[in-house]
Amino acid sequence: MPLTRNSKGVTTVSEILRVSGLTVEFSTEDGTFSAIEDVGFGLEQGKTLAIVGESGSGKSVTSLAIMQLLAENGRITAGEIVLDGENLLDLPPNDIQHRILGQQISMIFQEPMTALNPILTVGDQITEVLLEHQGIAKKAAYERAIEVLREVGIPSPEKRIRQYPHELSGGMRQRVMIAMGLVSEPKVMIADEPTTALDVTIEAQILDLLDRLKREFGTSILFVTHDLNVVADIADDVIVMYAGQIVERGSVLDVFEQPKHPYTQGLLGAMPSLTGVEGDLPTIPGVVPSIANRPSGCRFHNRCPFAHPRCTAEAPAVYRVGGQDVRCHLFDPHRSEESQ
Amino acid sequence: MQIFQKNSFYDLAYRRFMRNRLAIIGAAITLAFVFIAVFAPVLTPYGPSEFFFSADGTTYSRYAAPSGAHLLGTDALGRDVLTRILYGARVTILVAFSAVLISTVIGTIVGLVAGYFGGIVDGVLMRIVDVVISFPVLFLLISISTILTPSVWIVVFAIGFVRWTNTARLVRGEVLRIKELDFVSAARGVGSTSTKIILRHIIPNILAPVMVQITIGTAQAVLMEASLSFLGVGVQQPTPSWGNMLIDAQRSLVLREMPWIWIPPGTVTLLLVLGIYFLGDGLRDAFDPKQ
Amino acid sequence: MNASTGNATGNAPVGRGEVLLAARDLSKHYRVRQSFFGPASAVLKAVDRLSFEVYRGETLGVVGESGCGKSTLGRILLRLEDPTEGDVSFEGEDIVGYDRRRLRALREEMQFIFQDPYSSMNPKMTIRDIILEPLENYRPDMAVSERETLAGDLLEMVGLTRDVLRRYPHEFSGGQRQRVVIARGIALNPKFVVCDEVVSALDVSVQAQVINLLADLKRRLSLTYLFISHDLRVIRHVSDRVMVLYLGQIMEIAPVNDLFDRPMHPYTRSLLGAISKGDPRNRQERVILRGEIPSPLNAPAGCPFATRCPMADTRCHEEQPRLEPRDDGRVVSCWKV
Repeated sequence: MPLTRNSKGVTTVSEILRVSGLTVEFSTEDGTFSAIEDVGFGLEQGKTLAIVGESGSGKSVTSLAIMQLLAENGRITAGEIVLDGENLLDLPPNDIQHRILGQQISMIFQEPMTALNPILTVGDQITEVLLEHQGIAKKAAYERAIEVLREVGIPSPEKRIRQYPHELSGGMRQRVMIAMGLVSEPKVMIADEPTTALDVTIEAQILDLLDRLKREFGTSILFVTHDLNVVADIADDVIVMYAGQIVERGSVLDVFEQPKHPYTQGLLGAMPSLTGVEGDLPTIPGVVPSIANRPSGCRFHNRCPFAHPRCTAEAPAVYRVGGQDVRCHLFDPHRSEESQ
Repeated sequence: MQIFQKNSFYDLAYRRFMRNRLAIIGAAITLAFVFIAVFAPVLTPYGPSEFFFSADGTTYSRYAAPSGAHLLGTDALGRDVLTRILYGARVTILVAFSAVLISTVIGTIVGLVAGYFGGIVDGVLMRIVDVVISFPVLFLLISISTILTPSVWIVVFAIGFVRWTNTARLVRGEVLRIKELDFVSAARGVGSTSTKIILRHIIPNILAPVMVQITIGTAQAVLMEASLSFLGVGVQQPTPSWGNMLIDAQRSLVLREMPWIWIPPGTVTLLLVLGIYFLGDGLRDAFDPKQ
Repeated sequence: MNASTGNATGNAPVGRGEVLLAARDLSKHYRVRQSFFGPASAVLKAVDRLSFEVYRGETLGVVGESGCGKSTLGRILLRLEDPTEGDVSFEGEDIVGYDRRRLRALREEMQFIFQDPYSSMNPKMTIRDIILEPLENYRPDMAVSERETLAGDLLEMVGLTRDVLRRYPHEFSGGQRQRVVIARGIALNPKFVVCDEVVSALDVSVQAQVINLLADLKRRLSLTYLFISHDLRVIRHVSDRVMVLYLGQIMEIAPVNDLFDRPMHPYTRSLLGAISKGDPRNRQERVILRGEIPSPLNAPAGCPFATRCPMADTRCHEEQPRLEPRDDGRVVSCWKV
């Protein structure tokens, strides 16, 4: 098994994307806040890594930062984003624009209706990246587009390619988005809540499609979602984020079967079960802190059932526990017993 | 001083507004002109229609260049330009404010009724709006000014008559949007009547865009008044308005040789319109920080 | 592991309690102009001939995908919209013909809790004014101080503190706003509450809190819920019985455990098959339903589900199946069952 954890920041062979120490700040009229802090992970070739978290966890900021699509008041203040040996933060913006985005990394958004340009046909949008940056002839580009549309399961692609986004259903639009992301055979595909706006039966189709792409084309997928059930179905590895930090990281089996961080445990417990358990659902008390009101010390301490005085005072380090990395004082090997 | 209840929409908007330097400048300019309009008699020793004679006392002091006695010179009839500018502010602001008041009242009511009740009412009212928008106002004014004795109030009603359609359309659009929001259904669901829904749920939520519209409308009314008066169908001599002060600049001699006749009214018009626009933009940003 | 048997085979057959609300052949059709110049030709059947009962004290879950008419149904039941056809009776009285005055009286008994906690409160009003609005309308003789005390009590009942009365909606998180909306919904002590996707916009950790709160209120105030959601897990957790809608029509109504353990309608089976089991070790193949939901504008002539149904034959495409009540308290609309 190739290592997912790499404390020294050395890129292991199978890692296609390595993010380390990533910190993003947003300046607002009320001051400057860090949306994410010290976010680090590796995405292996042909694997799906899920970033899961609630609102304000920083999961979307992480994906937007990798795509260099942060809003104007957002800034990457520290960290590295290494794609296939190249640190994207060292590259000139021009290079990123012409060589990286849409070609080596592509992104699928949550709402395909707003992410697609309403006045261009499906074919125009899919072939754009090929015509603009790869200098492929128009005819060849359209043939490629038809091929990709067929791959993502769109029936009669020769007809669909001339249609406009509003002529397609939600599921079809999401397939078109995926086709756009796929057409240049990117190394990494970032999917930001790609099924959240879809109905369950359509969601199942899209997840199935993403899984097939991963297996058949070896695409590496960074899957951002709030939905743990989707994670259970599609991810190989999982990152759990809370209030701008990674609190737990591990393989999907480890995280689901032996969640270590109290937050991960709480999240898994709070999901209503399909087998119908009677009585109240287990809950995490309190609310998700907003970016301006993050507590000191461990950011989860005010909602944590295991919180002790140290959690309020001191931000926890990341510890290796079993198969996971966990940001929690409970797993400090030198922890004094009195706090138990 | 706490003007609004803490953290209310208006309290937050007020704080955002106070942080916007351009908006403050705009508000200051606008207030300065209102001040000038109110205190014009105190600010100048002369009357707006007072004629001045040349040194020998036999002829009017026509087109006198700026001097110590007449800081901005005199006009074609020997009246003090500065004094007429100050008194002109009264007329200009009175016309603009009254016209906007009329247009806002009519426009808001029409927009509210059309948007809230919809259906045939909406259809009829919006077709009336279309007719009014298509009206050749300049032609109408020219005809009126040849038939009736021209007065400031005709100008006020003319501008108000043209401008209410913008407000009506804006209000109607906002009402249509707000009507679909859940809190309106919720109010109906807890037994509130239509009157109460309009007064408590709809009007407070269209106030912000209407206030923005009022400022922009005022700026446009100032320009309209100036244009109409410049064309001779607006405010008539001897009442001073910035627009009719510019009439003389239609003569190329005045334009070339006597800049004190047209630069001052042109400049104050520009300044006031700009000030009101800054104020309006500031209000818009304060009310809707996402834009 | 199977808690369902208690409900399904208990002494009293499920769903034979006192009927609180009944709908018969309830339809809402909209005329839609398909082209700019053409006449209003097409008919959009948002809900089509729904017949069902809601029993006092139960939670009837309503589940379905987009376009199934579940939100329209809620709005019609509360008479926020008028049905095109059909009857609704509440406590034995037909409420469709109610005039404005009687409707107003009825609204005291029936309340709606909305989906989106961000748009369901007027941003210009304080929490106090929002919660007091129903009391102003229905308790005009109550003193203001008395109303305020009641508003404070309501806030405490939904897990907030009295001191939030002077605050504004934007000062609260989504979950807290939903609590305020719930407080407004129960202010008049209603009998029947329609909850439309009330937890869909909330974070998982907060969603569980609100679900528990609704369950708690139901016990304390003897409420009856119509609980609309697209989320099958939430439906499973909160419902006593479940109604499955597809394209404006009822596919199946069954006690919750029966429905989830032994779904009868092919659509219900597809729905249950499509959702994740939430277990990474047993990633069984999801049942992938082919095709898309047809537009309600061109609703198929026969069974609405026939275009995607793996079991459909010619009869399904041509003839609409009837809602067949069965002995075990279930209702299924399918030729194949």
